[in-house]
Amino acid sequence: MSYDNINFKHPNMTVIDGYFYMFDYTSFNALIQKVDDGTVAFSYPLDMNLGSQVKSLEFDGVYFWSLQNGPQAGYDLSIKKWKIENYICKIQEEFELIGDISNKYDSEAFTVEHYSTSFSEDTPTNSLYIPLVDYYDFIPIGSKVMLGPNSNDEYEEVTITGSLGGDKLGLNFFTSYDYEVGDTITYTPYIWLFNNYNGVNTVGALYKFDASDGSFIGMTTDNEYKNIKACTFNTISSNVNIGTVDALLYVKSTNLKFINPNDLSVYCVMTMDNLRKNSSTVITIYDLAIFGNTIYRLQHEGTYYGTDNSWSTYNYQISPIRNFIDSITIDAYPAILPNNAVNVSEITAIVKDQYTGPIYYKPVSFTDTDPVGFITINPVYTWIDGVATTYYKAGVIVLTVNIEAIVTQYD
Amino acid sequence: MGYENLKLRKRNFTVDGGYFYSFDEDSDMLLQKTDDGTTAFSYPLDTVLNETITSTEYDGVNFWTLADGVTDSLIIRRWKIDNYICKLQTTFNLNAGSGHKYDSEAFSVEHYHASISGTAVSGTTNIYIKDGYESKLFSGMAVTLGPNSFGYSETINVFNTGIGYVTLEDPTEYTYADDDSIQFYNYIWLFNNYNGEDSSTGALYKFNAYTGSYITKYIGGAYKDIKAATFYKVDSFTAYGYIDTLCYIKATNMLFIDVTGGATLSYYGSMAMDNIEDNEFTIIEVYDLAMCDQNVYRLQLKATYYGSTTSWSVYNYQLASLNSFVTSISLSAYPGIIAANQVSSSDIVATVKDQFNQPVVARLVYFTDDDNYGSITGGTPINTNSEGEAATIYKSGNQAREVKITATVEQV
Repeated sequence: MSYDNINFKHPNMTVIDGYFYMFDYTSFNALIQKVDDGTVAFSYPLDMNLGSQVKSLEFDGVYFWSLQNGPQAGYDLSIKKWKIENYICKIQEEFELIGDISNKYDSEAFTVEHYSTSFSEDTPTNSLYIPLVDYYDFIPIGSKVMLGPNSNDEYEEVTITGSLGGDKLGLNFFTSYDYEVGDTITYTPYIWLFNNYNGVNTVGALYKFDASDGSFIGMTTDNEYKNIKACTFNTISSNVNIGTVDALLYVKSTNLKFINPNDLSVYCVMTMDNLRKNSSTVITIYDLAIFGNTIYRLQHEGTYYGTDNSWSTYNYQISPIRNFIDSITIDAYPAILPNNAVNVSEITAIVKDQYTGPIYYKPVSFTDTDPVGFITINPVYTWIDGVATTYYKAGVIVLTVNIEAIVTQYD
Repeated sequence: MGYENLKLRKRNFTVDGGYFYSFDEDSDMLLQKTDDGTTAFSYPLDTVLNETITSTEYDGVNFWTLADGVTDSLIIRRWKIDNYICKLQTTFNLNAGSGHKYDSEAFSVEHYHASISGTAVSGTTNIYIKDGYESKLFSGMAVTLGPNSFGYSETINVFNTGIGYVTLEDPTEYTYADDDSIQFYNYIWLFNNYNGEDSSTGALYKFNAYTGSYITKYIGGAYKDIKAATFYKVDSFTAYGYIDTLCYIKATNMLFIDVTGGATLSYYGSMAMDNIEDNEFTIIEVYDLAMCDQNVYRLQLKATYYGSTTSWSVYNYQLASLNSFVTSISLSAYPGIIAANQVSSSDIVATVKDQFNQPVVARLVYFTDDDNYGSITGGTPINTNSEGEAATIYKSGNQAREVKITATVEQV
């Protein structure tokens, strides 16, 4: 069993509604749509030649965004914005990041900060405001937001002029189309780029650009941001420890970091299983996408149930976002007891999730190998600190007693 | 099983009435083959071919060929079978210069198969046409009338047109009944790998099919590196009904262009095909394209049948259909990872689409899993809804493993 699935030829991927997309710069020169067994479901020809490998692919709800090397690899980059229109994937804009005496650009990971909300009321054509379900107190004056698609698959870009109170934002011009409750509104303010240079020095930096015109806004220097190969941006809602947040996610070694885009603080860190069975070789993740609270990691190899599998193509391996049992450790106090059938030892199991946080209210079942001694309480549910406590009562034979704890989760 | 059929030596073909035609420049013949590769007939050419024919088209009366000329130039020829000989009618040399270079492997001829309205008696110059096709005609073009019930047909030049009719330069020799055929061609469409002299993008060129003169071009990367195209009447898009459309293959999709556009061209639709090798990423070249009834014939040197790729030393066709057909099933699980405790469950959604990327509704989807202890508990089979989706539930087993859930849908 080789566990291959989408069989992508190139190391870029995004996921939309269960379909996997990849830019193919070779003979296809197309945006390829696949289902998860690798079957090509559809392809969208590009209206311009890509010419070189796409290193990362993102989707903001309306536009596809691609990252490629610019004219001089390792010095220049090209970020392109695309949209599927009338069965063709059409270029909308290109932002060229050209190296100069102040900046060099070498990157394999970027994403677009984007927010998706919807109309809270039906809004007819020629409206001078839009009512939003979320983010009405977040979108700054002068921002451009994309309305649609509506039921006729129509879109339009509008500029926000200010708040009209409540959930309504004013517009600079009348809307062109009708919208119904639930139709999508997308706000895409920034591009984030993990650059292997901070300026021209080889310390890494996280660059921020205006997504509407590609202009440079600022950068944060830190080697933490160097040699990043996979990142994305998404609304995270199923991690109980952080609630619902909009986060910039990037892979560093075997960790997936969830960053607050406003101050670059870390919401949380997820441990992933992108390790070979030798437990030391990190498996490279080439691109990252999220769909249905599942993280799809694009890899050239994957370790499943203790066996390494390498592929000739790129395939995904998944990680859950929702808190999921990741580890259990067990302790006994005291660890040595007389075999008198009277003494007891407190047995503590600590259960943690992939964020190394305690995981609450999960049943832990304890077993022992002593034919006479026994566990007194079984099963035990974990408390808010992830701890489940029981007791072992000694037997009558001198022996090493193995106590095993098994935890599961039903959600 | 080799799946061979036509066994053509040359990379050009067209189809008419169940017969396949290919120009062979080695023998200077137009070969007519049946679909098992048997040569049914051959028509000697009255002109020696010195170039490889890269594409052949048929407009219902004339055969058209595309060949390379000298550097950055092309040759388009019109041929007609006349008294058992395939005779050259016209040659258009598309020569480099005047701001254009030409490099192409795909072209087609815009042509129409219309019907006569009412009876056109012998000697008339006014022919009434159904469905507004007179708007496609202009003075100097030729229309082919018939065959009538006696098998006669004739070609006469157009003098002018009015609403619902065409006036001919000469009176008809025969009488035609209501619904008898009237056929004509008007433009040549060429997928050029140059936009003018710029090879960084492609362009779709439009020429007058009577004079060969350049009319206009439409620029776009989607028109570059095209190897197969044709022009055909299609009814696969419910929003449009019957449409006359320029079809071409780009990557794994066939696109249907609305050639009536002005400054820009739009698409009626796009159709996914299976010209992919069994490694799921290597594209299989389609060298020429022809259509008959609802069948699409793709001329190839390889084909993937039932998950295995076959290579041929000669060119054969592989079929696609213009009828809506189940083409892909996307299967998603929420959550994608669950505990192996025989309690946890995952919502399974299958999305069924046809080759036009449209949802396939009201089809039964059968779900199976390969887990001895886990099971599908949400029901199977499930009908697809208006979005082409069918949903069920998988309940986990008790072993930590990758569970493969398979959704199968039958084409009705």
